Amino acid sequence: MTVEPREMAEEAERHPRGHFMASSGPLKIDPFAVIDELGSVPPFWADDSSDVMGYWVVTRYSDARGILQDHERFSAVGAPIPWVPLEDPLLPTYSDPPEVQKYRRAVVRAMSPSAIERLKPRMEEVCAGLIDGFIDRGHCDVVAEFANVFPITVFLEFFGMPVAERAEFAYWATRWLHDRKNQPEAWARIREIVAAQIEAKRGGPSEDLLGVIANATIDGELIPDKAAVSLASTVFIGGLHTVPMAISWSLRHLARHPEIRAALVADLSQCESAAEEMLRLYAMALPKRRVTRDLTFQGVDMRAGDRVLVSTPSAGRDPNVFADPHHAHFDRPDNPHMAFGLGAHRCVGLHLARPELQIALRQWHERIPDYTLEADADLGFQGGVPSLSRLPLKWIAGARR
Amino acid sequence: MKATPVKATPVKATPVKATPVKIVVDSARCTGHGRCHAIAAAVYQLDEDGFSTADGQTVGPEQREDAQRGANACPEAAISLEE
Repeated sequence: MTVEPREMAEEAERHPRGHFMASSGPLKIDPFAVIDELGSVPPFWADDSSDVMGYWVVTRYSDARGILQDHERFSAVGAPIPWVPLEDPLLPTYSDPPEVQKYRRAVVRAMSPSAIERLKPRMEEVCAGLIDGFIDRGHCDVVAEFANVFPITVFLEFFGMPVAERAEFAYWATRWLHDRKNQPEAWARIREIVAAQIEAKRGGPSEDLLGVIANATIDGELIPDKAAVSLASTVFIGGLHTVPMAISWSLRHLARHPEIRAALVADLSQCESAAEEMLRLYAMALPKRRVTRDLTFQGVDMRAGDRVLVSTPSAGRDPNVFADPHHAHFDRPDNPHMAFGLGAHRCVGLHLARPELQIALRQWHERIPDYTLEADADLGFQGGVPSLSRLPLKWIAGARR
Repeated sequence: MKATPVKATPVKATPVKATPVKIVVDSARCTGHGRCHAIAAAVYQLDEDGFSTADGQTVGPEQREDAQRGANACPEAAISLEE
């Protein structure tokens, strides 16, 4: 059998040159240690048992920007890694311009910086209440008792989910996140609950996000049921796991680096820049794209239909953009990390996520300035959205502030 | 491990010049991250949806450095400064 030289080259490119963990299963090692081991390298074809088709991984900052800002060559349609067949794909996550903007326009004002500003007093209140609940005990599991609870409490109120529905909704959300086998069922149940709320809020006041979405117009018409449900479900899912993990990875980093923590505690006005540094180091939304035509990108031949995973934490640790990239520096004068993605799909909830992380960091360090990780704690690392299953921290009880 | 945080990334463009500068925002690239406003609120304002309104704005020498920092903070590289 004769093989054309070009095909041979293509097969060589597809020989796996690195390992990646796109699936949400348990990991034996810290996913960010894997990120560090990969470094900032040209695009490579990944070996990943969770996705037998294989995919490209992009780690360099400039490559990541090049892909995420080029929706014509790198489409979001049909891009999930690992591939999960869902009856209705997440919209607008897996759509391209101009469709994606139509959906975004429906929610962007309701989630703008000035709209979110009004939520801050309530964020402060929820956060303080949670810390009250465990501070005198001298220890807690940050993931279960703080990071998971704080943002979802704030979001479900902002969303307008009735109190009676919240527990069941949160249950299915957890299944969606942590039980890959039952993900399609969980997604269906989430959509059912959202659909009932959208129906109830049609024609009513747009005083919460579900109301805004239920009464939005797309192309001059009332948003169709299916689109409204998909949009509302996606906005909810988008912040469900990411904000808790941003809080958890941040507190773990600061538990492991007491000298950095002391600098933060000494001047809590740095919480805003500290949050940015943690987002740079622990970016965890890894955008995926599908190559729309055969092309050469940064020296590698990609084929139409190939999928690409953009490792945003790698981009945040690229030494060509960030000096001393593996350490947190709260005094970086600018910090153009891409934890919230770039281009047409940048995270629509980022103005909600940022103050949540800032408030969590400020209140925690105001009241619990000195803490350590429980010895020999198994943090239960997970891939997919790089996650901790638990984060047991301890401090001297009674030093209440 | 460093004992204290250090200034890691130098501000890219400055000696501060005594001339005004014009801000150019590429509206096709700006997606409303709001970092320019967060870094330099006196220079960069946002519209109701959170997008930069600074395109075409001229700032004086005293605000050059802030304008540059706001531009450098943009993850989309949507902002440039013209002499």
